[in-house]
Amino acid sequence: MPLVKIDSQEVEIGKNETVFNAAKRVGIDIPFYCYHPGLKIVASCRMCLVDMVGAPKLVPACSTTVPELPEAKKIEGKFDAVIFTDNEKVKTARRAVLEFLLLNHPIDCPICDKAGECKLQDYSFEHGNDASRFVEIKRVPQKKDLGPSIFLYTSRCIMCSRCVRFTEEISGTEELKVTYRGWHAEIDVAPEKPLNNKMMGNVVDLCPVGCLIDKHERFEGRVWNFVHTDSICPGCSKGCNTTLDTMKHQKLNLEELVDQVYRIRPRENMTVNQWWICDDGRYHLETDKKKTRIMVPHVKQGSKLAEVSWAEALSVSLQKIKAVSTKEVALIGSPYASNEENYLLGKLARLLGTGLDVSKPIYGDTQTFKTDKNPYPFTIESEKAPNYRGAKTTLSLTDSQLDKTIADKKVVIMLGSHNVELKSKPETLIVIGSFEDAVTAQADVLLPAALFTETSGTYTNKDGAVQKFNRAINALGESKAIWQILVELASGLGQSWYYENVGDVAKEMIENVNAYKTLELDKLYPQFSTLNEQMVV
Amino acid sequence: MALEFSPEKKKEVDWAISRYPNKQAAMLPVLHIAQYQFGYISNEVMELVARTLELPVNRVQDVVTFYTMYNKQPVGKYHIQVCHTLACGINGAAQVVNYLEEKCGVKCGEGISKDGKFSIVKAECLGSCGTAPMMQVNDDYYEGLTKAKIDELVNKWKSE
Ligand code: SF4
Ligand code: SF4
Ligand code: FES
Repeated sequence: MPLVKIDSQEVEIGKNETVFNAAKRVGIDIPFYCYHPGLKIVASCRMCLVDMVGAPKLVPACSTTVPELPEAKKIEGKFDAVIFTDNEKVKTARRAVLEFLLLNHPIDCPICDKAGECKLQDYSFEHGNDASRFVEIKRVPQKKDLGPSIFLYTSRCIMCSRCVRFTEEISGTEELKVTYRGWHAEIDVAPEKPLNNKMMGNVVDLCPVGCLIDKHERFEGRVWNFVHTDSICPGCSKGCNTTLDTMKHQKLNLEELVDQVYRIRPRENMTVNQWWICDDGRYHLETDKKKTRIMVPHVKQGSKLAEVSWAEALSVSLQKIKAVSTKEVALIGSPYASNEENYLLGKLARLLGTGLDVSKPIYGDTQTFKTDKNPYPFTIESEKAPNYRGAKTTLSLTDSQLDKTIADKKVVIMLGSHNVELKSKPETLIVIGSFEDAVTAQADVLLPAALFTETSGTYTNKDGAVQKFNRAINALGESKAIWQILVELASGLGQSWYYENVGDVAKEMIENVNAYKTLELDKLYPQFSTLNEQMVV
Repeated sequence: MALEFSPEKKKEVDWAISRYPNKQAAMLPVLHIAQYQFGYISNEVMELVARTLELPVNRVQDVVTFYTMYNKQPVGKYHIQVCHTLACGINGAAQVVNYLEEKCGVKCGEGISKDGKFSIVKAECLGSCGTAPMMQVNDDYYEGLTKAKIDELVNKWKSE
């Protein structure tokens, strides 16, 4: 393997490995714009220029590889290349590149949504000049509407072409292109062919500056106010890794602070979603906003559901359960609930000897994005639930046979509610759910459950990867995590369970569910931090 | 109706494509052939070229907007490109443009004259510096321009 010296460090560099990569491995950060690990290398921005001894001029680190030299030609007797990433020559080049990029760049930072996570800001601060020498008039192209969810703030573009390459190489939809050239170059879409596909949100993350802006998020928050939480998308059985950016949000005229998830971003996971998520997942919470959230417990009084306290709702539930024999009770797990929650439900059912089943997920469209330039085709799965495989595994069920299971039952307790079709309504239906729908309308008792953003747990995706999502915000209204509700029900039924947190449930689950025996608890639930680790069962 | 190449241009297109390892590589010559047939590259023409080369129309637009020699707007029967780079510039390209505007009745870069005959644009160096000032009209060079020479040419074209 070729041996290179980067600044003062000796690094072995792979045959086709770029200088950029090798430097990164040993902790040397080279600034870059056009490079992205998921896209083809174009080496057009010139931000990553480094000084390679013997080369006639500076070379772009992102595209330069090092061939092995014959023994006699080795530099300093052993190196195949000697590279400086921080000498005066390189620093001058970086200053020059930034000066070019800033010629026409507006001073928009105070109103730009990217401010705070903008590469142009960061690098200007780190490598740029402190004042501009440009006294001419700036070119000010107007912002453009590229499609249903994205604006192009044309004047902010630095022409890295990442967005264009994304539509060419990853989504394969080819909406974006560079028009004109030089001073006049602009990103654009063809007339009447807007940027509109289920992956388009990714170009906003890709844009190193604030040129591509998501209409859902525009002017909604400042990035330095965000708290980041690792999560998993519940949109389908693919189980994309995401980051939830949350923010304390002060309602006008109200003292009270409300937690709010401001945006969902992809989190790199090479085996599941690489660097991307689809827009179904990205705007998941927008869709949720259209549904009515159940905020407080309800009990049916007469023909109507009435709001009651937790204590009352629980005591009514317990009464109903105790009034019949356990043979006439069924507990129904959910492909929308975590492994831990389904596990507790299964445990309760087995202890009491009741019926046990899982409801079917909703099925929808599937779509695959693939091009011959992308080694990782991206499929949005048709199974629109995050944890059907996990629910079946934890409950040791092979399939859902809901109608059969509840046919002769008097009391049915259901986790989650997602418009499950019930052939017949049992005498008493207790639903632990988050949103109003056809099932909750028939419920006799309604217990408000926390969403995936409001609790922690694990989902098992379609390929068997068990992945952890974390609580990002407080549960809305009076809703509680499903596992807590189950613990309270169990204690009312004479079981004395004690779990300090959902990690305790996970520990017990790993001990008792065969398929999960190999999981390592401290990787899923590390004590002080959350890791991105995932394990396959 | 979608545009088509005329049978004779189609032959040229096929010939152009046959000279390259893949269809995409024939984009520039095919665009030139299209410009000869249709006069300028409209959106429909771009679609035709995209169809012919089996490319997304975006890739064609990309290229058309990059090169100044593809006309994005309709041009006159005589499309006059006046070189205004250094040598011609020093030798009076500006006066040439002014005089042409006056004679032809159309402003430089502002479309076609009323009679449909002329359009004028400024061009970057056309590589004929030794005979400055000069202009290219359609495919031909007219060099060493003087008022008299322009009078003669324009009058001839007008009377056609
Ligand atoms: S819009 Fe953003 S991602 Fe696209 S070329 Fe411009 S700076 Fe790059
Ligand atoms: S593909 Fe599925 S898991 Fe991934 S972001 Fe989309 S809906 Fe979520
Ligand atoms: S990152 Fe290397 S040239 Fe752009």
